[in-house]
Amino acid sequence: MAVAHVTEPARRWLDGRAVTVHAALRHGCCGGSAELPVAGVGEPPDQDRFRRVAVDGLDVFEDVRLDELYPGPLTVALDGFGRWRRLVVLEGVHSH
Amino acid sequence: MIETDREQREVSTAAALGVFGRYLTLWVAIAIVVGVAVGQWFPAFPETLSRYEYANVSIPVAILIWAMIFPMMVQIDLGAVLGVRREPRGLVVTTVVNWLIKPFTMFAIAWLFFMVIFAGLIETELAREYLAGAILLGAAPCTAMVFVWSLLTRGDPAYTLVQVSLNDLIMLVAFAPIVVVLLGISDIAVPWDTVALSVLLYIVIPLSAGYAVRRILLQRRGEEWFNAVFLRRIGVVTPTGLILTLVLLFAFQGEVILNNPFHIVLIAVPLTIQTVLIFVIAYRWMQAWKIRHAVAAPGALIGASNFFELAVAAAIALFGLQSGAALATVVGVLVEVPLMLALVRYANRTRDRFPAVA
Repeated sequence: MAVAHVTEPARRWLDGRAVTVHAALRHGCCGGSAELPVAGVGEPPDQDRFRRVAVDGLDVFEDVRLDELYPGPLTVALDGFGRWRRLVVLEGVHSH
Repeated sequence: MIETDREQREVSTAAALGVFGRYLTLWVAIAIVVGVAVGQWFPAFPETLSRYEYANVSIPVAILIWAMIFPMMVQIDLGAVLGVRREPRGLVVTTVVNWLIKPFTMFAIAWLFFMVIFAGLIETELAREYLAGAILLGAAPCTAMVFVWSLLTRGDPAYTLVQVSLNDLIMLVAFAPIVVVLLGISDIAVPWDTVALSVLLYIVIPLSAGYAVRRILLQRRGEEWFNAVFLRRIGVVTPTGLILTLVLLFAFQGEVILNNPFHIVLIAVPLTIQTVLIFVIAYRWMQAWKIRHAVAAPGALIGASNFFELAVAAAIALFGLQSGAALATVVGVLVEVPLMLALVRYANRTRDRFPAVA
């Protein structure tokens, strides 16, 4: 897993703050589970599992547990509007 | 605009499903045997539990169903619905298929099999109860397992989050009216207030509690702790609740199963046809609209799969633990994993029929 790009709207909204992309576990109804990549603002409190990289001028902390599940490039983008804006992780390289 | 798509690499089924999910059919079969044995040899056990009721709601069953549902509800990120503007055509397909097509095809297929084709094999009253169970399954599209199907088909995780949150919001308002209308068409009388109570108990309360707990924990411990620690700790609750509910349910179903063991196969036939049909409709529609595979595959699989816990809960609440409706919903759980894995394999084999980029 490698965050290849942080979109321009996301960079503007972050205003220099770091981004953490971590594995978020989601349980299925019948016992299965899946790890999804989720982005949050700031550094992770416990950085043992994370790799720090610089992407588009920002510090990005990548959860190494996602390496195997999401081998391709990821993009951190911005969703929502007004005070409900939030970061999302998209697979592939997206321009916005 | 998407400039490049990700590297395609299939995820191991074993890793995504875990031991419980991979052998779910086996665990359900064991739960049926254990439940029937308990009901036959220790009848005092289910009889004692059935005495704990309030407003016609079995307290032990309600607790087990909350145990099944809460871990799924607490992980729902309702804020993800703000992403509906991204690739909306995929959401149009899944929403139309899940709520305007699926409940009605389920009703039609189940009615055809239970009331016409299998008329000589199943008593009319029991057939009507199986039809009711099928209607409950058809009105409850998958809400959590689609994360696993999405992972196995290399679906877009951000899209799946949006899809699930939108689906759950629609379910809040659409489940009860659809169930009441279709049961009414089938001449199965259920009081509105009982359906409303089921929705309150098994959708509104767990969803609200899940939302509140999620907010409190995110504020106090942070998102990374919530996702990496809390959700991992509660992972065992849902499967445990599911198996205990099935054991309890089959402790009451002993006579039906022992008298009509072949009925499980008969119930599985329309449920299997419905699952495949709904997948094909959504998948082909996505293909015709040239929607990328990472959206098309999870989008088609969410409608094909069901929110079994809700269907089981509503069947028990509306018709009772001994009912044919409850049995029909459980047969859905029995066939779920092998059937969905077959569809996952088909989706992975046909990936090249879809555009890789939007």
